[in-house]
Amino acid sequence: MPALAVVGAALLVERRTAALRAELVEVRASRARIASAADDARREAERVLHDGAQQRLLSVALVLRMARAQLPGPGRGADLLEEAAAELAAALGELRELARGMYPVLLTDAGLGPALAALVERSTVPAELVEVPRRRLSRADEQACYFVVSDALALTAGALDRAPGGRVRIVVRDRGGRMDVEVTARVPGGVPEVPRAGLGGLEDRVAARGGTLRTTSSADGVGVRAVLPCG
Amino acid sequence: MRARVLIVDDHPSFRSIARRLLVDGGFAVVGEAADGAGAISAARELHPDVVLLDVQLPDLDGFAVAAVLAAQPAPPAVVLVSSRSRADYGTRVGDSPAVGFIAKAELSGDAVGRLLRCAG
Repeated sequence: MPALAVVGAALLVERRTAALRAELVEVRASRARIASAADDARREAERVLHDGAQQRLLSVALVLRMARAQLPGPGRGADLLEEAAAELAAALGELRELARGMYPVLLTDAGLGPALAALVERSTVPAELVEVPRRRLSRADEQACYFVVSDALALTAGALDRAPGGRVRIVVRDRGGRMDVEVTARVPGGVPEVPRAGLGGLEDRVAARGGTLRTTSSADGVGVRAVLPCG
Repeated sequence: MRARVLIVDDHPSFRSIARRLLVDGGFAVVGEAADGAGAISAARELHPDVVLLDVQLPDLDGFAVAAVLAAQPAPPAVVLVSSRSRADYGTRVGDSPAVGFIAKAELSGDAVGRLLRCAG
């Protein structure tokens, strides 16, 4: 092949490689924007639930209580009102739980630390928040860190279901341009592995932010370790 | 003498129901406001004994309003209310100058009275 043709082919390859790299950067950015938009949509859905259906149902619950207070004592009418009030209270509780799972209001109002502290308090398995950044991050970064911890806590809690006596340890370490997130289920004697179910969603969430995720396993526990770039 | 209450909530239906519940519970409702700025202005004008204050308001949040009210001379007792639970706000309720928190579904004159008595 003549030298000129070789040089031309090399230039073409170089140009295409550069174009592909640029495209990859844009695809990664687009993926991060989509993930962030999905979290924003969760936040909006929580707000709509709170301001809409929850408020209306609350009003109904309080009116039922007032109606019950108008009745002189026990009787069929009072029983029916009490039954309706109990059903409504249960529905409100479920709605509140659903809204909370969608998006924690503390994340917006107070930031990552308080939101994670509340998550740990509500955890169904013993958990401790060992380290968390003190500074406020961008909304997208706080959302990413929170939901990675939340999903990882759910996964490791699944591991603890089969190993009583364990405890989940959460560390979110601020490394300047990145956050190192570690969620580890420590169990005397160790547990076999992090359940695969649900790991795919967590991997996608981390990858969408340009981060990396790996599962860890040692003699005293299993866990998830994520590195998330932060702005 | 009946304690004088200012009700602050951006939902008119809740304000109306809260007014009835509190009046039935022996309180005198002296005013209503639909947002944080209105609450601060109404509190300065009406000098209520108690402010029943929704946490989620369209402008300031209830914690910020409670802090402003607490800085007033002869501040009112602030009772925070929300359709969310206290746990949803972490330590923010305890850190605020409010005398306490009532989930909206549990609101009654008795519940407000109990908090005021505990606050002494």
